[in-house]
Order: sequence, then C-alpha cells, then structure tokens
Amino acid sequence: MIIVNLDVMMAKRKISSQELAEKIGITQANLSILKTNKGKAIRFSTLDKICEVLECTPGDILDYQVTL
Amino acid sequence: MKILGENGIGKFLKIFLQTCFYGGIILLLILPFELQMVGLHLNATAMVIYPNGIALLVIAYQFIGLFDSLKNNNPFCMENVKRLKVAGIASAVESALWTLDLLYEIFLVKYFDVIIVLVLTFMILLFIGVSIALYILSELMKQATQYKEENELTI
Repeated sequence: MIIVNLDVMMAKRKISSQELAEKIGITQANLSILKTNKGKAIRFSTLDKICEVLECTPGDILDYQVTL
Repeated sequence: MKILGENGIGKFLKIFLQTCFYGGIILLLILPFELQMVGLHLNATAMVIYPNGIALLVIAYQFIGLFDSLKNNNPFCMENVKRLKVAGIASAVESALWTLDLLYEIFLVKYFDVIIVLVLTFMILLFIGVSIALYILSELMKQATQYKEENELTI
C-alpha cells in the first residue's frame, strides 16, 4: 500500500498544516485526510504544489509498503 | 419537483410509506377479526397473508430508510446498498410464498380457479421481477457509492 509521509516532510521543513494548506490551496480537512493516509487518490496538480512548497520530490512524500 | 432535500419528493414518499407501514401492522394484527367480519376463518390459505404481510412490511421499512436518505441529501451510502439488498431478499421471499400458495391451492386443496391461478402467477412473476430489479439497483448503488467515496477522498 501507498503511505503518505507528509508529516515527516512537514516537520523537516518546519511548516504547519495551516500554512501548507493555504500555500497549496486545499482545506486543512483535506490535508488531514492526506496526512492520516485516509485519502484514496492524489491529483498530480496537488502533488506538484506540495513538492513545490516543500521543495522535495514525490518520492520523499510517497512510500510503498507491502501489505500482509 | 425536487427529488432531494427537505421539501423534495422523498419526504412525501416517506410519509406515504410510513402510513402504509403502520397501517399494514394494524391490518395484520386485526386480521382474524377482519376475516370474521366477512364470514371467513383463519385457515391455511388465509395464514399465508401473515408471512406475505411481514415481507411487505420489511420492504416498506427499507424504503422508508431509503427515502429518508433522499430527504437528508445523502442517497449514495452503504446503508442504502444494504437496504436495497434486504428489500430484494424480502421480495424473493414474497415470490416464494406466493409460489407455495399456488402449489397449495392446486395440489393440496385441489381448487383450480383460472382467475386465482392467474393472479397468483402474476404475483410470483411480479415479485421475482422486483427482486431482480432491486438486486441490480443495489449493485449499481454500491458502484456509485464507491465512485463517490473515491472522488470525495481524491485530494
């Protein structure tokens, strides 16, 4: 399964949920869905903005874990 | 006319079904007295009304919940998928009961009235059709709910 490591990256960049949500143009509720791995999909446009704001690559945010 | 929402058609259909539901319960409770009033007794033929009535009440109850969700602007949910499935099963049970009634009339009572046989056959086919339609609808509702949830959780 795909794991979103957004909170790790946010901690590294020392950015709050509110600030990130504002910069990428999504609600805090939606950002929370992403952070808690409850999301079903992520748009390329959202991923693009996240990478732009956090100055990272999609690989830094998304990870793959084998489901047992 | 509005379908969804507080003043939509769902609200009126819900009220209509609630009336049918509670009216149906009362009718089933006073069935022996009703039969007595028309000079009949609660025999095996009349007894089939009870399970049939209960199956119809189950269908009505499921549809009350369904129309309630229309009123609340939330028709695409897993509860409605379950409701349609339960109503479909109740409809299949209804069809099976009518089949038993038809077989009972023909082979045990040996009473063969063309009109009664036609009516019973019509009821059997009707409820088989309703059961299949409800099963298909529940599958469609399931797919739609899954698409909706996926769309809502796409960030």
